[in-house]
Amino acid sequence: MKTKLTNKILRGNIRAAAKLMSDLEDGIPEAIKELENLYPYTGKAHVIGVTGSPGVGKSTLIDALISSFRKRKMKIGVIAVDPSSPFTGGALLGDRIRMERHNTDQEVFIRSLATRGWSGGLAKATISMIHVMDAMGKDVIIVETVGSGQSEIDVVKVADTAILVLAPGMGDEIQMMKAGIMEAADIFAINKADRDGADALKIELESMLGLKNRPNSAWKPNAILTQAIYNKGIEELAAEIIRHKEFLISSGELERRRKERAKLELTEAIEDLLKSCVDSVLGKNYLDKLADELVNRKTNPYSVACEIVSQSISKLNKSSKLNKSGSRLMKKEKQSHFVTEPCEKGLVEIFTGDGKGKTSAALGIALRAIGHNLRVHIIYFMKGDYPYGEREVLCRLPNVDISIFGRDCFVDPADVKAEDKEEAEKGLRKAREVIQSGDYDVVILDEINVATAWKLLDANEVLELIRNKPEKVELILTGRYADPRLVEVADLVTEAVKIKHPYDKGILSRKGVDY
Amino acid sequence: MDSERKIRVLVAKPGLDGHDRGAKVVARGFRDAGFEVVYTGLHQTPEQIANAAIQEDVDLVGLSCLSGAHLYLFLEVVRLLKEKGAGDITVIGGGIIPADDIAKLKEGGIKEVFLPGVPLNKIIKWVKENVKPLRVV
Repeated sequence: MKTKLTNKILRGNIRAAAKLMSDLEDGIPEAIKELENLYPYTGKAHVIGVTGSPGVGKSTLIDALISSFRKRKMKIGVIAVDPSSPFTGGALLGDRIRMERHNTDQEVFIRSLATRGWSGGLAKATISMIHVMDAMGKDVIIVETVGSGQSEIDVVKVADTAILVLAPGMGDEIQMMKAGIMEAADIFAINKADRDGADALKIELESMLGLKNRPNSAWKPNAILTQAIYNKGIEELAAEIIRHKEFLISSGELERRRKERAKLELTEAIEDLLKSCVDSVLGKNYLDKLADELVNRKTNPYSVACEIVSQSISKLNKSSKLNKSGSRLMKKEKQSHFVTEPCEKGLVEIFTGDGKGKTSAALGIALRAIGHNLRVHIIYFMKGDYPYGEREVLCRLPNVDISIFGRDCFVDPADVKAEDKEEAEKGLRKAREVIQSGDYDVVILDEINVATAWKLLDANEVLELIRNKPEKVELILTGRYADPRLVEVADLVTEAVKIKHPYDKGILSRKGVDY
Repeated sequence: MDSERKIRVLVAKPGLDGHDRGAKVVARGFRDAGFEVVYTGLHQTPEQIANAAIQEDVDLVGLSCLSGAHLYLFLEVVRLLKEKGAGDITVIGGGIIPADDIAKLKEGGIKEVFLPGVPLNKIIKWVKENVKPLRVV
């Protein structure tokens, strides 16, 4: 499917591509949909990774390489990654300062990226960014890592050709022998080669490379001396990059690398989807909640993880089944599955009176809310483990939780047991926690009016619950005998009046209709 | 998934003015406020700045000028952004700017002007209140 945005990007529109990149970076589901459309048009560009310690001259070298490739009429994309602050989340992205002279060249697109907590030398969105530039028709995409040390070798996973930039005076031959990035690079650039020690570094490097035994590879990495700032050695480096590209194609290595990359990308997509599904099923704060139980050894991480994943998968299954057989409306809803738009301002509603239909009305609102991806919590007071039909279906729907308090029989107002009171108080505590958690948009307190009228709960406490509720939470109270103080503070009060009830004719409560 | 989007800012020095201390301090302050700051360095033409702002999809461009050429340089950046379909990017400026020019700059599309001595947190507060990242999809 080609959307307007897809078309713009395929035509090389920088504004459209740059905007999509921001959305991809922010992990917006609709942006990932756009990436689905672009994916068939990717896989053409040659991706070059450039890594090395801070200050060795990566950005300056890339600046010189851009000029060299532009002479060959190639279209260039650059993705320059710099670190985010682990403290504030902010970042100073300063790589493009070395490449500013290319800013007015329409065929050079430079984009700076912050790591946002991602380790390995790149940002999480790097691969998506490469795809967007690839779809725009860039011939070469250069990825600059953060100034990295020894083991940040993620760049090898995204690049066709990985270049390690070194500079003289940064370590002896033991550094050369270490595992990690030294083993993984396809080309070595010894930059600042006018400084003392460049030739010695080259000899050490070459002797190390001579010893190397990289299985199944006929490629022998070379070390090129460069002085990026004086534009020296750049043509040799560019020629070596092109030689490596030709080798990749003729040896079949390119295909092998791209398969590895595809596997990695798929694994990440699966993890991301599962994670966002878990978040939508359990709410964002589930880790905090479970942490207490784990610390107190009430449960263990392994079985909890298993439970969470199987729950998420079953919900994912259900929503995709709905999607297949459902109407167009359903399909649209599915797309926005993870996007919640809570009501701006939540109100307090009361359904009371002696007629039938109070809980049913509340459940109707719950259904409506779930349909709009709002998160609902229903707390049943005084209705213990009774086979209500709605409970069977609610526990299978996304974005809704239920909590049940009360004994498995009806409470006799003339003979209130201590256990009834205890259960109701537990329910009230739960209600407080749920309302304040920020995890729910609609909270239904079923039969709380009766529990209050029969003195299982203090009306003042319920009043306080209402007063302290966060603004965006919609609170619904059901049950006969609503306390006048609650009625006074509520925004909506509906009284169901009994005109007729089948019970008067001796018809008892019917399965599927009354419960 | 963060519901709050990161604010991306470009800090640039247009024209032939070598005084970048102020721009660097502001860039650093923005970083510490949790923004992602692209710093482009000295001696930029308005064309270079507008192109970089679009490529980086920033929400805000902060221009610094101490040479006296702010009227031309600042307004040219605003004009180029509009011409390139990026008129929604907020542009602010700072530097040695006579009071008479502030009104002219604002009239020309510069959203706010900060003069020497303004506390960093005042600029940051202004950005947080006035810059809201927009989504494309």
